[in-house]
Amino acid sequence: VFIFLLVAIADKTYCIILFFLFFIFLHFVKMSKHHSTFCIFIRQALIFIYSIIAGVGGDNIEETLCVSLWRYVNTAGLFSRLSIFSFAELCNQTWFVWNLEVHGSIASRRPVLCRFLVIFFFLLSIFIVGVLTFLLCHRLDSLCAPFLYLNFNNEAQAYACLSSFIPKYLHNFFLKDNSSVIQEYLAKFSHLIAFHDPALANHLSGINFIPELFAIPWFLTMFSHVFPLHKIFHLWDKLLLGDASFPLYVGLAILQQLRDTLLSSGFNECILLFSDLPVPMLIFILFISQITPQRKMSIPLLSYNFPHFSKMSIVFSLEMLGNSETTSKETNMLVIKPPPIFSGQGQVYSCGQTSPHTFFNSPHDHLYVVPGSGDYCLIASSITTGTGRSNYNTINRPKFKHMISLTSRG
Amino acid sequence: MNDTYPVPDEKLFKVLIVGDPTVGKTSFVQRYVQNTFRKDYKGTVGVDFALKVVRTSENQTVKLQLWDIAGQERFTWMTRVYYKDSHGCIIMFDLGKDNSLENIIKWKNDVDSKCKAPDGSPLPCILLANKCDLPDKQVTREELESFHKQHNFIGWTETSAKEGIMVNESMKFLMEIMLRRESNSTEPMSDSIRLDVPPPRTQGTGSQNEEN
Repeated sequence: VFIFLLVAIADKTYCIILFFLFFIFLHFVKMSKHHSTFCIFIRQALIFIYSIIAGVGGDNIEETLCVSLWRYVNTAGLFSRLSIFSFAELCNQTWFVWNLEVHGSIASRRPVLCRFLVIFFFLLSIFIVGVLTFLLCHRLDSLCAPFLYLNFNNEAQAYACLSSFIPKYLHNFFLKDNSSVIQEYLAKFSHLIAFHDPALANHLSGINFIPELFAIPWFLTMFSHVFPLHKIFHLWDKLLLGDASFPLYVGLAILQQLRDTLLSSGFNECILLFSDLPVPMLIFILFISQITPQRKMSIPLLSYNFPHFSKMSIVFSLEMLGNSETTSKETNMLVIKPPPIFSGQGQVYSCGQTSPHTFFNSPHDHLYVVPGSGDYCLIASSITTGTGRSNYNTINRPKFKHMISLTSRG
Repeated sequence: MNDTYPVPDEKLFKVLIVGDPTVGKTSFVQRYVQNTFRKDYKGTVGVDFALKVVRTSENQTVKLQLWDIAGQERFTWMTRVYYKDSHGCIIMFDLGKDNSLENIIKWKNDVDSKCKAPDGSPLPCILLANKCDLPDKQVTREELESFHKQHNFIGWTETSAKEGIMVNESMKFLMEIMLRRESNSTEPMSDSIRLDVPPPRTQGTGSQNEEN
């Protein structure tokens, strides 16, 4: 790398040779085992450096590059740059550079500096993309997210949080061979279930629903893979006060919460309860229609069907309602998130039905429905398409924005 | 579970979906189960599940329990638990990556060594070449044609979870094979003589030796 750097500084024509050598290197890497992930970041790095080279062309560029350079060297070492945001920022700057297209070139006036910067950014981008790949490969991304979100402008602190969080709660979880560590952890978890709730433990082992099938994402990401960010903050706040064994109890609490459901269902239903993927079974069809402007617009939603469950949860989030990415064009079907694990109890609303039906209304954009028999409508209070933040106090007196009717078919 | 209403004939098949990371296993499942496609990437941790109920005829429904297994190497030690009692398997690879074929062999061996069909034969396994909507393809059709025969796949096809190409068709194909095997294996079982079981077993080990 140093040779390349010197060569690049020495003469412009050698840059071509440098790239040629680099492609040979790339080809060599292709032969090796892990080339696929490596190639991805090499490709991204190439795009990056290309945009840098192409963009170096104006007076402002020098300043921009120096500022970014300073930022990258300044903070608590390169390792604090472990974030997606940094990369996004870097890309932004690169594109900013790309878009400037100012006449005149600093390359002609300050060739050495320019080339140094180019090489530096190239190496930096490789480093950052490499770290990113590492993060994504090792599921650290879910763990990083809360800390990064809370320390958005102080990534060094976010990294410090992460690096003290992992040894405490996820000790040795990210070893190359973490099988024994995780197996031990899950064994502890099974013992804990058996101790605190023998009936549930018996049932779960009877239907062969072992923690390996559902609890790995919980513990490997400290629940951040399975819960939305705003719930993670509450959970981790509690978690940080406890010791290293606390996550196990959180897992136990989740099972306790779903105890009745789990006890009354078989393997299939249990597994779907914890599944990340929405499961349409077309027995219940959920309709949502907007009634405020006196026009009906109904969108059929996929729904879960657990006919014999004591509690069924239907969740939809506002981001998804508003997001056309997740909406399939032909059918207008919306994606529903998996059943929630935590639910707050809310007011009972029912109409068109003599027997009462409860639904649990959580503070955040979610509707939890408990199915009864027959057709009925439920009115959701917390579905608003504004900021996605609903008022906690409106649970008792909702503003009726949408009407949801749940019809049973077959 | 089905006490409330009589269901004429309902079969449950457990189908594994394995392959390297980011080849599109989860996208494939999402496309198949709910006919949607998401552009963002969220890696699977451990295993994920989906259920699809397919009505094959007037009085028969098939429940497909899809096990979307994480492709990352750090989860491969778990695969023995995940593979247990499955009926069929999908091995998926990315057409745009050129070391895919070696990894397919790795996955196929992993599945065959850890799991057998209920009758003792190797699992019926289809090979899916995903992302066929993208222009650059590293593997040719001829290669795949000979490759899938050599390694004992029941079939292969190019698919695209993004565009929904051949997703339902390939699943239907696998389902039919599983149904056929199921009916073949249940008939001798009704005689309650287990002498029928050994021959497929030898077939199974034989074919495995060929691979190795």
